[in-house]
Amino acid sequence: MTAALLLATAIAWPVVLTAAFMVRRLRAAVVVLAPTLALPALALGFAGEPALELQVPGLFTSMRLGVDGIGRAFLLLTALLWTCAVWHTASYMRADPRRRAFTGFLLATGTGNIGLTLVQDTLSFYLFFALMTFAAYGLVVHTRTADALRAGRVYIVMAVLGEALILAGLFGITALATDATFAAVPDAFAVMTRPGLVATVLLLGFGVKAGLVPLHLWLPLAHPVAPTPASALLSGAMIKAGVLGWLRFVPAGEMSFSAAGITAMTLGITATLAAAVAGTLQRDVKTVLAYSSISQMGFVATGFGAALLVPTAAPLMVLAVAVYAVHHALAKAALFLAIPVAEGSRRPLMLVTAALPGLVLAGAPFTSGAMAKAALKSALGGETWPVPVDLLLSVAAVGTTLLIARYVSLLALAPARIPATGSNRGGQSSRELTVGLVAPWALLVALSVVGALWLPWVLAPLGELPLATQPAYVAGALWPVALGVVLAGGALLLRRRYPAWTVPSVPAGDVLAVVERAARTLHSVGAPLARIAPGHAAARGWYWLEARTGAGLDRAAAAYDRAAAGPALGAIMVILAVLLFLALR
Amino acid sequence: MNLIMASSWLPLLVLLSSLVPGLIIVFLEEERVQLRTALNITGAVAKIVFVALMLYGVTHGHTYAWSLPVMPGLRLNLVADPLALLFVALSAALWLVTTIYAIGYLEGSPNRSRFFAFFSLCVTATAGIALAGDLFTFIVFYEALTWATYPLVVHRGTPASVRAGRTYLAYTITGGTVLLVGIVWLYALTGTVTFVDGGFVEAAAGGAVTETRIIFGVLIAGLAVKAAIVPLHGWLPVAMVAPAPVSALLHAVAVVKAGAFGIVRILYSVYGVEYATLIGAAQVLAVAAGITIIYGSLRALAQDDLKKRLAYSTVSQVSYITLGVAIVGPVATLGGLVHLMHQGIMKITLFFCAGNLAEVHGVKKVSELAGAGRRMPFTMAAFTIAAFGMIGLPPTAGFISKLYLGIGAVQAEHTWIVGVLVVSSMLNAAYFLPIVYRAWFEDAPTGATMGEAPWKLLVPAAITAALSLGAGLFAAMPVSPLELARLIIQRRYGL
Repeated sequence: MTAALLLATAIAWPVVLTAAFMVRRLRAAVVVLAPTLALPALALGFAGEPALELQVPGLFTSMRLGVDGIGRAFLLLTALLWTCAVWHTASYMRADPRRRAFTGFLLATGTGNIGLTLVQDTLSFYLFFALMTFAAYGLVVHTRTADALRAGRVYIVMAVLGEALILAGLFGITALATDATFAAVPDAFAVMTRPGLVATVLLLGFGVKAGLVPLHLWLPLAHPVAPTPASALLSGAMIKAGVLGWLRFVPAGEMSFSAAGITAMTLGITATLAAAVAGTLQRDVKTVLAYSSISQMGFVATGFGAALLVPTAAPLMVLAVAVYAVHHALAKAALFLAIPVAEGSRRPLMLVTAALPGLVLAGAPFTSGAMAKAALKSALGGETWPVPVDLLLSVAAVGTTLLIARYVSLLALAPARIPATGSNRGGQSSRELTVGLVAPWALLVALSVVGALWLPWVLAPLGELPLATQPAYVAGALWPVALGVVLAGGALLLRRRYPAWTVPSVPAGDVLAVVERAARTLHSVGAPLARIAPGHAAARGWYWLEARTGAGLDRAAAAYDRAAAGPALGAIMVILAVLLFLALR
Repeated sequence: MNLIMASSWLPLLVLLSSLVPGLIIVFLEEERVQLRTALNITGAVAKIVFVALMLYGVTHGHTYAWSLPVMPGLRLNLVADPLALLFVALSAALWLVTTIYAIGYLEGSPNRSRFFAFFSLCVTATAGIALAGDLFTFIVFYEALTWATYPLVVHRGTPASVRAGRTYLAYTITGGTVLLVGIVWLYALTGTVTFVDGGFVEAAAGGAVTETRIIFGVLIAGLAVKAAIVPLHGWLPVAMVAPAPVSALLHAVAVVKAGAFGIVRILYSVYGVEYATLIGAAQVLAVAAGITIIYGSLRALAQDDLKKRLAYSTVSQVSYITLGVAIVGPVATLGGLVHLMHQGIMKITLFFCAGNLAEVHGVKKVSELAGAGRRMPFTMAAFTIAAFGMIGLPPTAGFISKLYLGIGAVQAEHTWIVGVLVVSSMLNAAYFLPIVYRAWFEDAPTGATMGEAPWKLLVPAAITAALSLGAGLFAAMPVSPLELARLIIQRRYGL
């Protein structure tokens, strides 16, 4: 009974806060209460009685709530991140004239994100997922700078595309399911005429949110412009909603989905490698972290793809994916929240502390990162793969280490030397270190660093995690990190020696930049054609389009032409993806 | 109580509740504002009470029928089956809110007696269309609707509205004539025009496949004018020069809905979806609806005039109804029928809000909407809910419609319809989200007037916006439009 009450409160409290925010007279009080948004959910996560279910018959299409094993892992990560980030926001936003509006969007987004971990039916999941997606637009465009608005446009276009694909998949499932519960999903797939198509559509639909390459292009644009707590939530918690969508909507383990599986593995492995390189070559610390997320989500996609291909490996894979999700959420949120703290203090102790979750992310021995990679590799190890997946993922870990080195070096730079972005333009050059700013960060760092101690407890309902302390795993975890550190040190020495060398850069939003460059070229073909018959409908359409998009494309094309490493990296990425696809096929 | 409920007079009372006030208002002087308002509101409330009584009776298994001999062999038949109630309930509920809105909107303007008289006649005709028990009764009211609406379209008397009125008449009279030809032909072939659940054509004239096919085409072509199916939709975007309450009436309550409802009747009570599919007619209709859905959305995308954008949106959205009933299977029909109501409450909200923007701040174009959310927070909140509904985002009513249409399409193995629905959702987002963005995320130009609409304009929009949200959020409740539509399906498919 108390558990049911806690479950109802966990989902009702964010709804109440969001609704109360709409009432002008209550707004001030709601902003004060906002950090309690996820506290009931957090309590539920820790109390977590798996298999708990609650039905609300009249609401929506008969909403079903509950906490199961997989739901609990995502509930905990979501509740932890939201609690810390909203708490952090109060201090971070102190001087912002629009902090109230920001809190409103935060509450609505949080309601969606927390809600989707608590529901047990596909339609309600879609409801909360959509709420989260559309409310988060307000977080992305908060600063209203040109960059933020552009990022918002890309975000919303991709979001609508994702929602539409998920909707198509939802039709496919609901049409054949006996009811809307997650439990009925496998049976629906069993009677489908084209289950592979539905699985692929859902993989891509949720892939937009999960940062699956090449649908990731909103991520590196949105993260640098959003206020830092929002970036932490986007990268830490909301990305994971896409992963949870995969696990809930596609019944890995029930049957083999070869098309979706090969797609996920190809794109996943490509992302782990290419995004690590692209991220290391960035000049904005938050863009670096955005690429790190894309790279890390590549690991998750690889694992999920393997589960789709080999049903027998699915239980272990799902476990690995869950570990990865929780572990990455904590580490990435800690890395983001360190940025405002670094604006207040750049003492070595602070920088070293800030780097710790980075080491966790790279998978240094005895961390939750090593545990997650061990889980992934042991699950993959049960099969023989036509490509050296193991080695490729280790190489990616070297890339992660380099990327983290880049992060720390950018963090250490004085703000004057950091290129202006939407997030710090016109902001304070140094921040006052208040408890509210530092404590949530410190808490996340601590939770992330000791993750290896408590994650097995969280994930116990899903299965036993492989012991990451075995010598083979320790060695396997150590060498990529060590090599990465050595390479980063070498790069630092080279730069000291030859200060004139500049690092080649990749335009943020890589694939999008290519698309925009191509669109610009098409435009220049269109201009002379339109002049032939200016009155023709096609020509008028061209002028209409040109007036709306021409200037933006010009800017994008110029940025693309400046970014030297973009085309090379893009070409390598495409070749890699094609080779992986051909090998896995 | 039982006596009232079982009374066969109820269908007639539903008609009279708007006909009588309408006829009295014709003879009322212009300045008798209070009496006119009292008549309008009393009529509208009475209609809702009568409909509610019938609703109660029909959900308990009763069917109401009333009949009047016109000449030997011809009778006006009013029948309240669940399908009729779905439409009459929608029009009765929306008539009340539209009346309140119209009273506020036209405050102090000339020719209000004429306006409200025809307004009432218009709703009477709509109720007649809904309750018609056969095709003869149907076309009588269908034609009456054309004539009752014309004075409303040209109400302002400007050259543009006179032109729009002429276009409207040219389209609808032609459509009505074609429909009449179809009905007479069908009568000649089958000897009956009385609606039967599941259709009567197959039983009466199943052998003459080619002829039934052609008649189907003629009937649908006649109805497609009001239902605004491409390429017969041309009158609708032109008619948007009419005052906002008339637009609401055209798009949500009466005219467009009458066309769509007629198509539903043809498929549901004349041909039967199964027979229409057997002769290949339903598939053609579904494709036409699919084309209309995409075409309307594409055209909406390019409109800067807010009401024109909404008009093309109607072209697109109304064809969801046709699409749903043209697919065999209970779930698709459910999606189409429930959208008959959902589209009504969502689109009327949008037109109310567009009217408020134009009336209070003179904002008529999408490009002038910057900061509208700050200028009229409640109006734009209502608009936003309805716009999200049109896109089909959960938990709005629009999501429920789209969900059942999608499920129905998959169950009938029409995968292409899933494609139409998905593409259309994206297009809807593409033309509604920029409006929402401008209103809430852009700053109002300096010197812009601020201030919310008066309550008579605001309350109707708030009510229909709440309905648009509630119909989705509480879709599983017994009184939701979804459950009402389910009642029809259960009767038809014996579930």
